[in-house]
Amino acid sequence: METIRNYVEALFATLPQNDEVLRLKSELLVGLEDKFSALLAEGKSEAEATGHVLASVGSVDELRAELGLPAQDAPPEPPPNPPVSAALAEEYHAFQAKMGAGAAAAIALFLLAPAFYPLVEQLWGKSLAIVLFFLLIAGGAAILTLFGVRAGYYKELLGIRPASKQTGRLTRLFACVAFPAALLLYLLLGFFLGMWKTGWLVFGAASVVVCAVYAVEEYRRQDKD
Amino acid sequence: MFGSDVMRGYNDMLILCLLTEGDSYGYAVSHEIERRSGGQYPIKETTLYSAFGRLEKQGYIAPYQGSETQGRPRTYYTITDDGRRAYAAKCGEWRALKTVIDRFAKEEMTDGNDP
Repeated sequence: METIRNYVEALFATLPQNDEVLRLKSELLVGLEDKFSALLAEGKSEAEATGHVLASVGSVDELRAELGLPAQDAPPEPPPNPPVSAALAEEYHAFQAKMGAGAAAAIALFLLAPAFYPLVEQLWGKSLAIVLFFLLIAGGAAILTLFGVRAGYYKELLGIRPASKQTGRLTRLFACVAFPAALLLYLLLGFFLGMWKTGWLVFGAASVVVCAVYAVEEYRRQDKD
Repeated sequence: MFGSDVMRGYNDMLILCLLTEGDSYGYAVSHEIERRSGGQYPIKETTLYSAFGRLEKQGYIAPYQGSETQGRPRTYYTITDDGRRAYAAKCGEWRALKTVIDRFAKEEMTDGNDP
């Protein structure tokens, strides 16, 4: 009977302890005790009788519904994203426009670097041309990096999941290695073998490698799921 | 076995019915409901005791302290005149409902439980 009493106490613990509820609880306990005694009198063991009585009590949700109380308050769910101020969203919007312009400028720098190279080489010599070439490339890379970092910061504040999380680790690793390696190879081929016109194929090759790694990784991931 | 959602709305009727036959108390009512339903409807105890509270508030039943057995004061319930009227109305409602529902229950369909 102690088990039954504890169960009822637990059942009523979350309800408002007003007169109506307290009376209901005490009457319920008397009724359950009657039932328990009756089951023992029928020859059931204490364990059997306890199980039988507990099964007939009903759940706390049923009890709440009977009493016209709202379903048990679930703990408040944490908001999926931190509250985003409208001002921040506005700022991000403006930033996206600037980021577009920045990306265009970076690409222009990348294109200008090899385009200027022959001209500068003729005017001021090879070493200056190489320095200028790298400066232009570095400038473009710096612009992209800065905007990338700012964009990541905004995305984190706004609770936007960065796209990189959706690709596998292996893909990211390969992309990290393959593209700088391709750039280095392209520059080496250009400067030492003069293959500026055909050397760009290494970028294609790098892309193919990364895509292949991505495909394999995706396939294995889906297989696992 | 009927779930509590099927029986919702008719628990009050079952209780009032038993009280028209004489005053009774919690366990006796619960036991009698299960017995008469042939074990098909073991009413949940929380349902039963909250129904007592509701019926009392509506003035359909009235409680009084009965004799103590095994040291437990027992609350008995008696049906009031309002309660009898409510019971009669509920019976009428059920007969009407039964007629309507029957029109949607096709006899040639078996429910899978009957042989």
